[in-house]
Amino acid sequence: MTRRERFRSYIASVDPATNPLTAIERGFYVGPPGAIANQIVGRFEIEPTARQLIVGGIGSGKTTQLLVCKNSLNETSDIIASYVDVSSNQDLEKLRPGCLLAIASRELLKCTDNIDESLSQRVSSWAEGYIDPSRGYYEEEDVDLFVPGIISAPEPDWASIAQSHVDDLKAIVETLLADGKHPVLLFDSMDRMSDNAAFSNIVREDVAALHACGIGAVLVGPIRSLEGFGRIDADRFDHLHIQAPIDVRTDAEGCRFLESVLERRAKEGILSDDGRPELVRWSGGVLRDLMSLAKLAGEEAYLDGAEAITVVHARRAADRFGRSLLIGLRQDELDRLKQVHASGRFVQVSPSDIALIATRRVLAYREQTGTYAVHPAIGPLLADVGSSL
Amino acid sequence: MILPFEPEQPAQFAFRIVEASGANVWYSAIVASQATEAIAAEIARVANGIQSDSAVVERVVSAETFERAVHGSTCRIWIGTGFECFDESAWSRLDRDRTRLERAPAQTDSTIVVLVMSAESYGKLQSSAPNLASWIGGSVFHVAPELLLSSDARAARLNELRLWGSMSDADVVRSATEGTLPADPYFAEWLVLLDRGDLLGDS
Repeated sequence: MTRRERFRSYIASVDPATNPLTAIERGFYVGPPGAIANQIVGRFEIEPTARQLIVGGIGSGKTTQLLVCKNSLNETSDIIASYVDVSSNQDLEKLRPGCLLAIASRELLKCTDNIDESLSQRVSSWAEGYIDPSRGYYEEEDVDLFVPGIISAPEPDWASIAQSHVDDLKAIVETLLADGKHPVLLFDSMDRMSDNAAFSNIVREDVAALHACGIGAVLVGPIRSLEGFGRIDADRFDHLHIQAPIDVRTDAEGCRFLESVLERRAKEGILSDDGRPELVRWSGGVLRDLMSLAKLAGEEAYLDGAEAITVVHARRAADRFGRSLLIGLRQDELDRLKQVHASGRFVQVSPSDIALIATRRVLAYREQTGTYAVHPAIGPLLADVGSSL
Repeated sequence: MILPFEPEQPAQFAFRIVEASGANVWYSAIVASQATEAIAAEIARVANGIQSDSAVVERVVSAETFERAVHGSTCRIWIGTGFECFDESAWSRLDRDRTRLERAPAQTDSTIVVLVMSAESYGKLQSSAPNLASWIGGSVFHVAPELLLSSDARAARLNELRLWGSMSDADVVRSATEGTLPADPYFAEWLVLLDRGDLLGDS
């Protein structure tokens, strides 16, 4: 293999935008310490209808964990699990109560051949729409006026979803259960929803209806599910899993894991022994950032004419990465970052603070205990940035 | 606010993206807002010189056209401009739809997307489309058109290339003129450093 081929192969293997499914198929998956995939699988093994929520920063490996989870669950004899990238099925901005139920019905129909054709047709019509031949010819009929009684039966949690759709899904689940399979659905990408109220409505209605139908469900939710009123959404789940970055300052086991991720992808000594921990250090423990830095360092080494990636290339990559993270920040945000960097303390008080976490300028290592840090790639650059403080 | 990046010339950036490898590779070239079209065209010209028919430039006018263009392109390197007209809601939409922006390699072993935009536009992307920004990661390069390497740096680099290729400058120019120069990005860089970028398409 020529030098060029070695570097090209390496750079392709650490591309941060590679589909996690492809990375798993290529054998690049390394289980992190305390992998949430194992925790989720364990929960479903003893509680197949559990409602589980995953919250974590961008690039922390949530999708990878869901895919690993799906594979493990499908190795369990009495569970059938499906992974759904909600954003591929549905415009997230138009996500409303009933959508997850419709997606679930459609997915589970694929898991069995023993479904009545009319039920299958109803699900398809509800999910994808249909042509109503009566439209345009409909004439209003006389309708007897209904006078409600004094007793109002309590409405189910899924008030906006017609009961008939819930009943149809329940019938599909019963067929699967008769085949000895508990259905589990893993819904990805909902952390990209920007409408907080819409996410709350989905959690209140669809998750409740899925549970009532006997389906185990995992949702990837937005980071704000851990803050303020968002916490109410998290409380509607049986289990909350936080996929935080690995605190590279204190977590030696976590650092070894991150190095092993690089080792798995970097063949033939292309990444030097001292370059590896350097990349881990600058990544801040965010998996996708580690990949991005590894790729940049590879490009630096290649264009430098080097045979292997060294500390020098890793540091150059970190500098470039940090500068790119600073683009677009307002002066008040820069001041906030400086403050956090100097004090090591961060209390989220505004949407702009949450945005600093969502964009990984601030890393939330353990939100419950308030352990935050400015992304290490940004830290050294802050001294060069003007201040209004 | 943008801390100064060490700038690259369009040709240097073109070498970088031609050499890139991966199923779904994303870059951003940060340029002066009035120069996006010219620099995108120059990057494509050099890229196509190194690897023929590898790059195409498209100007997009909305999130929808961007999605369609990226997804529909069969060219190995898709270079986009026009992002200065994207507001926060356009970037937010693209962030939600990020999955649909994934390019599956068709005939080629890798697909590369390059967003040529101003620093201000990249700032909007970063704040309104953080998921998409994480695909780009640190692959953000300041590309400046008129940048010239210092004469010392140019001489040093040319010397490295002469040692690497065991050839003289005249040999390289002659081979390029005769169309026998190997299709290697280092030779392309060599020609550009000799101010003979015009021979790229011939070699």
